[in-house]
Order: sequence, then structure tokens, then C-alpha cells
Amino acid sequence: MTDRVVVSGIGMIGPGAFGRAAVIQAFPAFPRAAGTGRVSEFALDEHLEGGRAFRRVSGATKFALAAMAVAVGDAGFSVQTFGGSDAGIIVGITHGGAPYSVQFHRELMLEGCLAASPLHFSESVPNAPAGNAAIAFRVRGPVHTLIGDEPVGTEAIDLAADLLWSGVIKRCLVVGTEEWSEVVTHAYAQIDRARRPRRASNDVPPLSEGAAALVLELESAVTERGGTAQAVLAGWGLERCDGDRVDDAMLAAVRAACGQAGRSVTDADHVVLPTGRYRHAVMHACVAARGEAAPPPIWVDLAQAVGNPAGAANLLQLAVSAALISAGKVNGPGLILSTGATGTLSAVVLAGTGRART
Amino acid sequence: MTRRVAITGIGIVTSHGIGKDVNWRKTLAGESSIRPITLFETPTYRTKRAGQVVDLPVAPWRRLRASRIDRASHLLHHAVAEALAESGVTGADWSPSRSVVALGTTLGGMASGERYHQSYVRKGPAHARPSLVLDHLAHAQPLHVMEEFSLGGTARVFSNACASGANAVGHGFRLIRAGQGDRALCGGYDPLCEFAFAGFHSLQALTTELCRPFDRNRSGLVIGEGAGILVLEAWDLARARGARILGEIVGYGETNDAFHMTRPEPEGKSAAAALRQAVQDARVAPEDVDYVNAHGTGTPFNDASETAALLAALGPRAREIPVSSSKSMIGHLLGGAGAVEGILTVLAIREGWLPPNVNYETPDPECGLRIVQTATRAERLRVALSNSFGFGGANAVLVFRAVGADA
Repeated sequence: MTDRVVVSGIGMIGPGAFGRAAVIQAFPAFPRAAGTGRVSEFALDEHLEGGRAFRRVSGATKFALAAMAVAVGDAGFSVQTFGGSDAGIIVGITHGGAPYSVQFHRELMLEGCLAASPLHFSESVPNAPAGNAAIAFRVRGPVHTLIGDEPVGTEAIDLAADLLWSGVIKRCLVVGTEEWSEVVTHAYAQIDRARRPRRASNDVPPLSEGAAALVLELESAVTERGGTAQAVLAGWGLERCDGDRVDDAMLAAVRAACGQAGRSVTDADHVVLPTGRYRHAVMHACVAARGEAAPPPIWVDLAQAVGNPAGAANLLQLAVSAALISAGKVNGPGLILSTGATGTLSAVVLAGTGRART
Repeated sequence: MTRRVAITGIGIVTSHGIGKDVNWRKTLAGESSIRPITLFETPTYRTKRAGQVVDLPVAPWRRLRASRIDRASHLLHHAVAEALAESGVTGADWSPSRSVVALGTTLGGMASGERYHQSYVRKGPAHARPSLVLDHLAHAQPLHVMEEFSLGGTARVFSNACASGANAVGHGFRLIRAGQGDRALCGGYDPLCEFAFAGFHSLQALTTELCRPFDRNRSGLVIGEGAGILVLEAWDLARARGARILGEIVGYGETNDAFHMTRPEPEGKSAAAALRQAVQDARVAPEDVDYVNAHGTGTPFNDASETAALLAALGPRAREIPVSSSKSMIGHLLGGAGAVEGILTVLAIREGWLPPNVNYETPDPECGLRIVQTATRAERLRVALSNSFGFGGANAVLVFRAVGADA
């Protein structure tokens, strides 16, 4: 029997006061985010030992480090004990630290190359959150940054699972992080207006920011070190469509995820809806897949609470589902659905461990 | 389940030109394709040269409007077309559930992002063309080529700075070897753009002179651009369909320095660990290694650290193994470097020639490796390593073997 990949630590940082405690307290109704979908100011030192060394990093890196520190602590590790050559980090992003990229390019355009800050450049590269995280948590195993739409979180867990199963690493921080950018938000608004000229508003939540991190391990490793598995990554599927066949593609992703999990789609007691595009189509696909006889699931919609934190969205969904399962608010399995602007889609089945949490 | 992984197709675009023939010919000739930059204005930069691909033909896109897509996608198109044509893999062979597209890039279509932001600032937000933002995303280019070449499934885009391309190839290799996939189209790419050029300029990493990897007087790197693509297949499937096997990937190692965002760890400990992993993964001994295609950026930090890593991982044998870096001729291709240099390593094994490390004049006692100064016919060239190291502490090492060298 294959050793199961389990979630042993959870960390999340979202707009306003969005976090694990708030999620569990507010479930099943999440409050509408106050303000503009931005993460409230916080001191990294409060979450991460030695966090002051990272005071000049981009918002995307800062969010990631904070979420990772929370997840590492939740899993029973510390900054000193998590790292090593048998630990890995996989970060998923869409735009990452776009404000620093914008700042660097603005300096270059308006003041010339000699005024362009090297820090703004090095923090602009997509793997800046991962590189800084490797330093912060002393991770010397594989450290990757994957770029994609919202479902990039599922790609990250897929890669992490491969590395765990193949024995390359024993534990992995899987992270999604995104920082809000005025320029990027403006561009997406332009795109949406062009696509839906007659609709001032549509079902695409506004871009926002945040980060979520999960510590993933094989169940045997968690047991061996006396840790606690909080949820099981039972199955996942990734698909791509051209935008016209979203229902079919999502159905294929759901079937792949359920097939790997050995569960039926009707087993899911909660469904976490995408925070990106095609939300209605996805919901219809899910309802159709479950059939009329199945009891209705709890629909978990984070969009009002967190907006759409793009590359962080999928991990945030997974973190919420894992936290709810771990807290006993739902039994699981949960079905976590994600959609991206370029037509990528994913479905993940997150299940309970089947063991009482001690 | 462990399967052998064959390389059946190669596609390469660098400042040497488009295609493996011209790239190999100019590489062996030790020709420099570092030239004045024409893609953007350079008067205020301390250095004005790069490995720019000149007269890049617009790729023959059938499904997308060529004028609306980024230079990155055009580079990638040329390399993918060459690799697929050589491999003979068609849409019929490409099962979306058993095939993978894995590509590495540092900044993807950043030139489009620059154009958008330029309009946004200079003309006002309403005048900026939003499609440029979508096209600048690093996952846009792989999706473009997948659509163009009817490659179903999903893409995986690695952005691990200068190790991205090697990581993507390593990923494809691992999936096939483990039996999780049958075929992979993998590699890396990065176009020359002012954003990246200015970034390395701001870090004072660019040389104002010649790029001289491992030379005592080395003073920095030269940026390049291009794409490298490899078609990987399960050995038995490649044989069964009668494909010509160009080489074999036999090992992959990956670690992180966990040291500094932009500087390598001076003693090269984690890079050495990646080298050891790769060699062990390939089940070869240091004595079996006949050539190392070094990361060799030509910066004082990198080359000293890479030397330390080679010595730590391979022992005294490291001083005997021929080593060269291609960056002195074509520049540093960032996310494309690992794949392009991997391809040059495969070609070196196939042809039995050691590619040169041009501009090397003065040995550096701190390095002390056996640097290949001019192209040399190899006495034995069956197993070779290709090193890639990058920002954020990324280290990746690929091990290639000659066809039939397992006998």
C-alpha cells in the first residue's frame, strides 16, 4: 500500500485578519473582506525567528515566510529542526512580487539604469520567495518555484508528492504566495472589460494577496516522529481547456482526483469553490457530477473573504479545507476546485486521517 | 519501476544561430557570438554587448498571431519545432496523460511586461495593451507552443533562476525513469530584455570586457538569450518506434545553498552535494566522468565556488577532467542555460569532441581545473556532467551518457 501524503502543518495569511482561527470561527459563513483585499501590516518577527533579517524583502516573500513559519510550528518543527538536505520547498506563484518588478522598471525608465535598485531586481525574480525561504528555514534539498495560474498550488503538491514518494525528501513546505499590484490589477480589469463589454461586474473576484503554506510528509514519517497528520492529500487532477469546455475539463479533473483517492464525488461533504474565473461553470459541473440523489455538500466560497490571491489561491483553499477537517468542523473528504485565466483547472480530494486527533 | 531515458530530439537557439548544426559548428570553432545589443538602447550602461540572437525569424505560427506574442515564444517555437522534427514524435505519440511538458525560465516574456508598463507610465493606464500582461507571464509561452504543436496535457513551468532549464530536464527525466510518464518535452528559454540586463547591471555582475570563465582575470558575465529543448522518451518505447537515440540521461541531482539570494556559497558545499547526488543517481564513479560542462559564468564568485564544489564532490579526479563553459561564446542564457548547455554536452558526447572555453588565458590558482582552451578530440567521452547554479541558491546537475556506453 502506498504511503499516504499527509498535511502535518498549516499556515495562512490573507486579507484583513484572515487566518486559521478566523476561518474556524467563522465557518461556514466567511465575512466579506474589509478594504481592498490587502494583507494588514504585520511584523515578520512575530511569526519567524530571525525575521528581521528579511525586513527588506518583497511583500510576496514576507507573506510566504510568515505562512511557512506558522505551518512549520504547527507541524511541530522549529526553524532549527525543519531544514536540512532531506527537506524541500515548492512555491507556486502567478505574478509573485510584482510591485518590486514595477518599482525596478519604473526606476529604470524614469531615472536610468544607474538608479535601479539591485534589491528591487533580486526580489523581482520569481524564485525570490523560495530562495529566501530556503535561507530562513535552512532547507538544502530541492527548492522549486512553479509559475502558473491559480491551480499552480495543485502542481506544487503534485511535485512535492513525487519528491516524497521517491525518497528524495522527507518533508516539504508547499507554499502559494502573491502580492497585490495596481498595474496587474488594472490589466486584468482591462481584459475582463474587453471580454464582457456589456457587464460592468462579473463573477471574477478582484485580485488580492496573501499566502498559504502546508507541511507535507508521508504518513509513516509523521508517525515515526510522533507528529500529527491533520488531513490526507488523497487525490488530485490537473486539466487544461480552451475556455469553452470548462465543465468537461473540470469534470475530468474531478474524476482523476476522485479516482486516485478511491472515492466517489458524492463522498465529498464540502466543496471549496475557485476564487478565479469560471466559478459558475465549475459549480454546475460539480453539481452534475454528484447527481441529484447525493446530499448537497457545504459550498465553501472564500472569494468574498479573500478575493482572488491568484498564485496563492489554491493553497489557501487547501489550507482552509485542511484546517476545517483538522478542527472537526467537517469530516471530509473535501473537494477543492481551482480555475485559471489561461484555462488550467485542478481538483484535489482532501480527506480526514481516519484517526482521532490527540 | 526504473526505466532508461533516451534523448530522441534536440532543438537549440542561441546567438550562434538557430539549430544544432550551426550551434555545434560555431561552438567547436570557438566563435564568439557576443555582439552589440540592438534590442534596446544601451548608452547609459557600462557594457553594451550580449549574446543576442540577430535577425530572429518570426516563427511560423499557425494558430496564433505572431505579431502579438513575445520574443520568448518565438525562441521557444524554433527550438520545439526542431526537437520534435528530429525526434519524429507526433501528436499521435503524445498521450496527454503519459506525457509532460516541463520548461524552465527566469523571466518568461518580460519584454511584453516592460512594454505594458512603459505605456502605462508614459501614455496612461488606459492606453496600455492588457494582452501584454498575459503574454509576459512565464506560463504563457509553454501554453502557446503546446497549442501550436497540439501537445495536450498541462505544462509545468520551473522558475529557479539560472538552474530552471536543468531542473525542467531533470523533472522530465525522473518522471519517465519512475514510469510515471512515457515522453517529455523539456528544456528552458529566456529572451534578452532590458529588465534582466539592467538587473544584472545593477548587481554589477556584468563584465565590461570579455567573459573569461575560470580565468584569473575574469570580471563578470555576459547575458545571452535562447532556448534549448530535449525530447525525452522511455528507452524501450523509443526503440520500439525505431527512433534514433541521441544520448541518454542517467542522473540528476538538485540541492539548495540556503546561503544568500544572489551569491553562491563560497565553499560550494551544497553544489558539491548536488554533484554527488547526480553521480550516485547515475551509478557512475568520479573516474567514469570524462567531461564537465561547467556553469562557469565568469564571475569571480561563481567560478571559485564551482571549482570548490567539483573538488569536494569528485576528489583529485576533478583536476584531471576536462572542463569548459559555453558562456564565453553565447553568454548566460539564464533560464535557458541549463538546457542549452545540456544539449551541447550531449552533442560533445555524440561527436567525441570537447567544446572550448574561449577567452581563457591566465590560469587561476584558486580554480586549477583542466580547462579546455580549444576544441579537442576526446580520447574517451562516454559520461559527462552539466552543471547549473542560480539565484536563490539553486543547484542542478545532469549526467549524460553515450548510447551504448552501458555495454
